[in-house]
Amino acid sequence: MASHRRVGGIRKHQRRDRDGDLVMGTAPRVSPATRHPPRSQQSASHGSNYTELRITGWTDEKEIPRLIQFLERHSSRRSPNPSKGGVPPIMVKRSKVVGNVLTISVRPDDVIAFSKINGFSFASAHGNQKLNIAGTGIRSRSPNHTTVSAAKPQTSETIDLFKAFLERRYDANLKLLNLSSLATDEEVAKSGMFETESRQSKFFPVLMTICDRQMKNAEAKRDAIHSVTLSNNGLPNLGVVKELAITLPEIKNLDLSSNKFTSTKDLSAWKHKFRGLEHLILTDNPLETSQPGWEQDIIKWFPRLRLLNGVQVRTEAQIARLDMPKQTPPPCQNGLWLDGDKIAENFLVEFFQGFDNDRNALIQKYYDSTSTFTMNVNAKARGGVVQHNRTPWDAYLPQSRNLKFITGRRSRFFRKQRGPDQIQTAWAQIPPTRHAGLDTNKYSMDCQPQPGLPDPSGQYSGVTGLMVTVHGEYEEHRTARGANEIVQRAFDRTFMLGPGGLSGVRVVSDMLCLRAAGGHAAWIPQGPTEVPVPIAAPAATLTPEQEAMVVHVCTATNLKREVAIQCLQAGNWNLEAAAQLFTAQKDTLPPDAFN
Amino acid sequence: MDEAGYEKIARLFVDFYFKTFDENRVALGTLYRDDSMLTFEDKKVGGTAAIIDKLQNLPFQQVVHRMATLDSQPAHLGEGSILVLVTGELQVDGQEKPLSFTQSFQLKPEGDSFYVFNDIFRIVYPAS
Repeated sequence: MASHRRVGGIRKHQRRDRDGDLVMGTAPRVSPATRHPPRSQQSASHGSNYTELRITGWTDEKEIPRLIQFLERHSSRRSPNPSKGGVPPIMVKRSKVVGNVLTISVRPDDVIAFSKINGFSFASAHGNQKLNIAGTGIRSRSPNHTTVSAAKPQTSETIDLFKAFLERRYDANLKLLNLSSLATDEEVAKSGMFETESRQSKFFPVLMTICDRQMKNAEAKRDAIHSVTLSNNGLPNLGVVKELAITLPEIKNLDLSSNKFTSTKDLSAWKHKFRGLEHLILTDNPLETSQPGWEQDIIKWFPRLRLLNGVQVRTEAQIARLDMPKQTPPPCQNGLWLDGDKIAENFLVEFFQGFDNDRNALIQKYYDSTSTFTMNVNAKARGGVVQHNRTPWDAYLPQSRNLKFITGRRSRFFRKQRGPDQIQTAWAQIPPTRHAGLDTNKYSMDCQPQPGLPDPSGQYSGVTGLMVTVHGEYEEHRTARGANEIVQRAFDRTFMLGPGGLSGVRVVSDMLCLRAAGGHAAWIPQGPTEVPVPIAAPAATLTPEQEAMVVHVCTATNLKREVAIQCLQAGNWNLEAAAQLFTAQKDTLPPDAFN
Repeated sequence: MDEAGYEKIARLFVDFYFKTFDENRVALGTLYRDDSMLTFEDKKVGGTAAIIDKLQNLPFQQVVHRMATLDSQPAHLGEGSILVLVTGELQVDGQEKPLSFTQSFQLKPEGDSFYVFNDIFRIVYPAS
């Protein structure tokens, strides 16, 4: 019964698990084409909601499910609808196969995403197959297409025009790209590039693309352009210029003055963008009067903003603090480890090795029919100030059991794994991992004893159980797609260990929480914070000979006793050497070194 | 008790715990017993009095907890204990950035209600 219901639970989330390599189970899936035949037949009558696209270039109908996953995967990355919480949107709403044409129904918004993947190669079992996507709104990539060849000379002319424009508008001394008053630029007006609204909306993205091509890499961009002005463009919002944040994310100064922004909402497209922005000008915009307190939002959105309209909003010290590891509570290295017999330690050493190398053997050894395992992912955590790249949690999310959000009883039930079989299935979904050795200080571990944990038969043998918590990081080897990507993940894992099992230890509970790695600074001691060496060496440690030398030096030099000892120590308790040191340094010694 | 019951208790407990922690820390005393254990970062204390003393004398006064993840499992099958793992952010007075924490509890049944048997608290990494 339970296993039958589990299948239902998994299948419900199967669409999220769109990485073709991670499909659960071994039997090939029923082709979506045949799975929803009634729906695809209806598509004509509902045609107004979705746009139909025709995919050709593939040969094997058995590969349609993989092909659809391929399309989903690549189009969802280019979708204008951002994914929520790491879950990509579903791109292919319907599909059907007629002859060698796969017809898919997609949201009109998403057509552009499919347009971008037109011509992509699909890795079929019969070799790479170049896919051709056709339909309303899809640009043809075929080189012998008449409109393209006709447009070619014009295109290169346009590119030259844009290049010339960028050259004219760039001030190398100021490292400033001046994009103010675009509409009144003579050359732009002559070309007609800014005449209609649709051209206006295209102008900026094209300009940005060309700007991007002019520079070799991010470093070149960072060095060449520090400031951008977009003033006096009559912008009501960032709609037509938002690409700036993608092309030039590292600029320091931005001038948006003399536009038509009426509220900070009009600027929200750049919320949390431009992470290094230091100076922002928003003068002569309606929002100054229409939204009292608008500055608060802006200051919050740009963490390194120092000047807003020329007024200081953050001190250097505040910004410096951003990049420093946090200070309180004091970091601590050693966990409390109440593990007299090293039971937990031995367990953890074996556990992490086993989890990296042979999860099934680990399960056989430590987990029994009453062991439970759950995991949850905090996909929102960014992992420190510097690391903003989020690697998706696609392989984990179908199992994530964050009770804050997962409220349905069924979901909660199906995401709790009990017994070796379920745990094995769950662990098989987790990509390969590499944990650092426990002897490094990359973990924070705690262990608290549990009196009288029962063994599997329910008997209290009097043997003590242990509650063990571990915090640390592991490398995730995302090799499933043939990629060779290694990402750091941070985890918290809580075990309840009890007596029993083959090895004398069994896992009663195993709870895992994951998020982006942010380093282990929290439990590394932060350098010597105490006063280094106490100046007054205790007299008791001096030998009588040394004591005599100290007295001699004090009388001869009038140095304070502590300084005299230091001096003698530096001279290795050789009067001659100490005297030379004193002569060399006496002019640099502070007055309070003397009596 | 069924599975959903455990989860409900875990949620109620965590909500109550954080609210009380943020508003009136001393009232947390009712949640601990004399066999309770608290590990707060590198300090370990046992017993209600010592735990409350520890919680009242933390290096910060004004705190706001924001929960990011919560999970629970029944532990100690014979007894009906509940294991709770919660992670989130801790906004401490005077600090611009929140601290991230993870906290593991074991709740033990006592009559009709539960008390905190184990409580392990750790600051882990900078959250933003």
